[in-house]
Amino acid sequence: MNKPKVNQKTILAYGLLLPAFIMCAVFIVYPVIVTLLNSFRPGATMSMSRNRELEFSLSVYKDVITDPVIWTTFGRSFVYLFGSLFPSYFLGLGTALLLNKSFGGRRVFRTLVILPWAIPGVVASIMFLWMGDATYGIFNYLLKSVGLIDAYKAWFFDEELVMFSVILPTIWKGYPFFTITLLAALQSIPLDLYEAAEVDGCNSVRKFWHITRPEILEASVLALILNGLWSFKQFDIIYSTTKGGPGVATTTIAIEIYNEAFRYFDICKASVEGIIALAMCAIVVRIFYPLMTREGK
Amino acid sequence: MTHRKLRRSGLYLLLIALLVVLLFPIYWTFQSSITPSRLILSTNPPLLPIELDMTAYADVILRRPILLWLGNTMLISIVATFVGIVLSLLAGYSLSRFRTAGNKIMGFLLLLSRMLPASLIVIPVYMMFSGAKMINSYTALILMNITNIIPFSAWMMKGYYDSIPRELEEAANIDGCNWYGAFTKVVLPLTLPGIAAVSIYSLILCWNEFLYARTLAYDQARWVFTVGLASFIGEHSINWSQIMAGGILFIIPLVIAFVFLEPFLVGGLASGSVKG
Repeated sequence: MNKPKVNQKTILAYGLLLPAFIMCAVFIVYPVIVTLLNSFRPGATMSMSRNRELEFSLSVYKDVITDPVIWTTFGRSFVYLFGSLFPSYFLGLGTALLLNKSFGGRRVFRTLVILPWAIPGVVASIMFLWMGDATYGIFNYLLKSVGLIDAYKAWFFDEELVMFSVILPTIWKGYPFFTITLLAALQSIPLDLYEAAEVDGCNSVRKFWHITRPEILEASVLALILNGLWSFKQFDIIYSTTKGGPGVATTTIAIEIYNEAFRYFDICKASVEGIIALAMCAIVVRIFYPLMTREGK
Repeated sequence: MTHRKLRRSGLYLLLIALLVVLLFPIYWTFQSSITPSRLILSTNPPLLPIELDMTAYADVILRRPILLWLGNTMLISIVATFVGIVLSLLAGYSLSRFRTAGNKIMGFLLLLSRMLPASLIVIPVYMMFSGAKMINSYTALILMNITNIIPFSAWMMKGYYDSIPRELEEAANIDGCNWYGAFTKVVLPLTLPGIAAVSIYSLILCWNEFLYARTLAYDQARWVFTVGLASFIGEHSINWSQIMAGGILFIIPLVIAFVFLEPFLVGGLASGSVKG
């Protein structure tokens, strides 16, 4: 009597998961397998049936890894990643600390502070493209008015400045995630810790350093990893404004993979670059795996 | 007392100053969309609205197919969100109530989707849809949006189910409800806030989607709004007022939905399960 019931439960458990599994298997797992296979097939094209006839070879891996161009592309990715990650974090931490105080209208302020999170990446970067316009951009006008620059700059067309210019909308769209996660971490700190510290005569700086900092450390690391992965893979913000240019000034690895496939139609090279990028992400995830599975679900 | 009041006003001033800076891009987009071109295309643009001019809105609506693009975005977002939510409701329930290998597989899929660059996965996906003659189809875009939603929303839903005591279902079972009855009559009504959170999150994700839409549809009639808006950038002379008006029209529904549903959303996001 007991046994068929267990089986029924198992069928139910897997049956409920099945539709979601099928979607993920067809559109996530299978494409990864195809990518992996294509990375070993020099001369691969957009046609799957023709790719099946190609011979396997490691030659493109060798070419890509020994070509310094790929490493400068990864370097650019890391400039973009860290250039946006830490400013976003500190902006998020600052706003979370402010919103953690109790005051009237806190909910309204919170909604407004995290509003940029909801703005589409394409729209965000077009907003900044317009603000950074070489002739009529408000950035130039404001910066020149206060004397920070002497002449108007072409923020999105100058190879020296364009990385900074695509990092700005990334920070803008990225910081609310830190605000939300850190605010939740701050609100879970027991208040009596602070009360005890006050009795001991701690000032606010010491309270922050000895109570707040250790309590939000774990949430911070997790949020940094998640946001870092998001920046590393970021496509919309860069592609919709610069397509990786001018030249290759904003060609991060995510953009490079796409251009290699859809501009130069080198599917094998794009797949190799993608697999290397994926391996890098996997290493990071592996290192922080215990943290991600403890809280990340 | 006065000291506290002073600190309170200081806090408000700081917050308002911060908001002015942080929300300036949205304000400036709006200001650029309602100010006449001759004033906005100037090296000395007005910082505050001085002259209201809606021609940019009229132009972008009448001369560009943005209503079509908006319609495409809405169609794809609503269908994908609906299907994605239904699948996540079922999957999340299984993840919460049963300990199976499914938990491990689903956890792996979530990690994988976090690591996978979308600009990589779009290549084989393009091959698949072009092999199936489904380029320029709504179905392809809807399927990819559903795939975007599921790994995150299934785990978000699991979190909401976890907070509902199993005893409630057991009681319903004793009262003669089968599994389906207990699920629909007892569990689902209690997860409504969770469903609201996951729905708004999924809608935002679909509304913002750009990469698949740009790659899997080249026919202008099948473009979604983000793709259409980005196409203005490549043009020879960019009409900024029109782009800004288009951008504002596009984010208005998003901002309204976000402002009203934000309290639901924050709980789900804060659990660390989501990075949009």
